[in-house]
Parts: sequence; structure tokens; C-alpha cells
Amino acid sequence: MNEDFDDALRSALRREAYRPEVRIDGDVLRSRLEVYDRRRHDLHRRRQMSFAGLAIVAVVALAVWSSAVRRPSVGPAASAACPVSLPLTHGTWWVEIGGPHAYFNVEPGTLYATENAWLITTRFDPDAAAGQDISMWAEAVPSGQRVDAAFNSRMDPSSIYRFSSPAPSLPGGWYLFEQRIPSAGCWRLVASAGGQIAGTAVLEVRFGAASAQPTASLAEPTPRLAPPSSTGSTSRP
Amino acid sequence: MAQLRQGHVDALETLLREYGGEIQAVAYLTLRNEHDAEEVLADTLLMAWRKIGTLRNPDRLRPWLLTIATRLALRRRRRLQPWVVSLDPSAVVPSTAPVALEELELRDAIDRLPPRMRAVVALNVVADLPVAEVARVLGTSENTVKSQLRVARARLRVTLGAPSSSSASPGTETSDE
Repeated sequence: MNEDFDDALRSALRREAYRPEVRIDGDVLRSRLEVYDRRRHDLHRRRQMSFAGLAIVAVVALAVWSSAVRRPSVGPAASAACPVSLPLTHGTWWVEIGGPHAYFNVEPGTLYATENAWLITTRFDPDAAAGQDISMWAEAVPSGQRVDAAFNSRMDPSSIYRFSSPAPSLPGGWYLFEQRIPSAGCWRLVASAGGQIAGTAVLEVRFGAASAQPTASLAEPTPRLAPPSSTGSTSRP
Repeated sequence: MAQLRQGHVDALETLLREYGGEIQAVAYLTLRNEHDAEEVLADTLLMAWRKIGTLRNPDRLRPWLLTIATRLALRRRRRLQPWVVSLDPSAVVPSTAPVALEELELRDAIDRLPPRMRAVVALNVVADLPVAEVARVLGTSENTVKSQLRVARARLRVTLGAPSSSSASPGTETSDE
């Protein structure tokens, strides 16, 4: 065996393996831990609530169902407070919020009220099954006012870049929705697949800039504005 | 270790400092994507922090971390498969520094190895784990690890233009993808 070459190959492989710098730091780990704990806590609390108040939930669900024309809804929130969801950063710049099976590429604090629509990348994990309806909407908290999003297109995450840095190839199906949020305050984003709610996120929406102009650059890491268009859900091809 | 067992959040930073580079390097060589390797690094440390109670022998912390990282990386690779696209190797990592052709060829050659074979190479060459330990991490036999190392070496040598002294010929190994 040519040991010299093995040493050279070994060194080259090590150089290649260590080429990317470690960019994750303690703050990233701590924030992730916080998000995971919060999610686990929320899940636990939801389970407790669902067992304790099954009858109440059924009544509320019935009321919401009848007012929402047979479309799934999480209903109005129980309190006037705005329990803002925590964002999670993947890689160095891709920010998502929501869960447990649908995540919105929204950085908290960036959304403001406008008559234009925000172009939001929504990731379903797992992806919707073929032929299943997917939809997204926003609900004002606590009034329950609902604004449906319009489906824009399916996305390939490998085409999303911020400068020269690609978005992480997170699993699931990626879709673009045009979501209008007409007023400031507390809003819950909801994504559903096959009639079931896949994920939700609660956000504080700022007062809008009257002169907001639509932009559609894919290089933007944060939500973009899209021109208003028709609403509705779509079937996954 | 005591901090870790007591659930101190600061222990995460200690783990990151001591093992972060190695874990990310193993994950990167296995996954060939910087962001995915970063995700694996973060998930590995958080999982270790939570499951430290299941580690009986503190001396095995390092191989235990590498086991978690490798399994997360391979699981991630399986889940991500539908989105894998073939890119020009020179475009994968934007850099202002000039890259030697030899380096690009090596990257290309590594990319062409099946992920599990890359994990074997990463654990043996980058993490310096002996064959028996690599087999333990991957839950396979030592012979399989030896065979995968032999094939990987042969394939890399051919790509880099060096004479292959191994008995294994490239392309004889069944891909595990």
C-alpha cells in the first residue's frame, strides 16, 4: 500500500471536512432550546386542555365550523393577549415560525398591516399527500376575523438564496402563499393540509406603511409583498 | 460532564467548544451541505444535552456524540433525498479564495460516494475512530466497514489519478442509497 498517498488523501479529506467554519454559537443553541421547550410545553398544555375541555372545544369548533363555510379553523383565541410564537433559525439565516407540521418563513416584527399581500413561504413537514388540498389563512386574535391567503406556487428550496448562501434543505413541501393582513394587532397564521390544521403561528403585526410597494425578490430572506390576487386553496399536484 | 448531567445550559457551550468542530466535520463529509451539517451539529448537542442520562460510561462521551451525529446525518440525508440536486462543485461553496483543481476533483469524488460510505470515511479518517468503533457507531460489522473503506479509498484514488493498490475495484460496492 502506498502509505504516502494515504497520508496525503487523509490530510486532504480532513481539510475538506473542516473547511466550513463552525458558525453556530451558544446563543443559537440556547434559543433553540427555548423554542423546543416552549413547543413541548405548548403541546403538553394543549393536551391537557383538550382532555379537560373536550365538550367546550366541541361547541366552539361547531360554531367556528358553521361560520367558516366548512373550512378548518383554529377559532378565536381564548384571551386578548398575544402569545407570540418563537422563531427558529435554521442554518445562519433562514427563519421559520410555527409548527408542528407547517412552518412560515416570517421573521417576527417584520410584518405590517397593508392592503397588499405578503408573499410567505410555507413549509409543510410532512408534505401534503398528492391530491390533498392545502390552504393558508390569517385569523385576527381574539376577534377571529379570517383572511384567506391565495396559493401562489410550489417552491424548490434549492432556488432560495440570501446573497450567496442557500436556504437549508429542510424536509417537506415548500409553497408560496399570498397572505393579506389588513390591520395591525395580533394575528394567527394557519396552514392546513387535507382539511386538517398542519401548523399555526401567532404574530404581532405592526401598523402599516400606507405607501408600501410590492416587491418580489427571491433574495429577500424575510417576508415579501405580493400584489393582491384571488384567494383560495389548491391541491398539491 | 457534571454540568451536563445536572442540565446546565452552559454545558451546551462546553460541548460545542470541545466537540463542535469534529461533529460538524463528520456531518459535513457525510451530508456535503454546510447548512445541513450545522443543523446536525445543533440537533446533536441538544439531543445529547437532553439524553445525557442514558450515557452510562462518561469516557464514551465522544463516540456517543459521534454516534448521535452520524445517525442524525444519515436520517437527514434519507429525508432530504427528493430535493438533492446536482450542482457544479465550484458553485456549491462560494469563496473568494482560489480553489485548486485537485481540490474540486476531490470534492466531486467525495460527492459521488454513497452517504453511508462517506460516513464510514468521516468517522475513520476525520474522527480517527478505529474500525471496530466505526462499526459500533453505524451498527454494522467490522468487515463491512473495512470493505467500505477499501472501496472508498480505491474510488478516491482513481479520481485523483493515483495508482490503485487496493484489490477492490471502483464500482463493485453496492450503493446503499
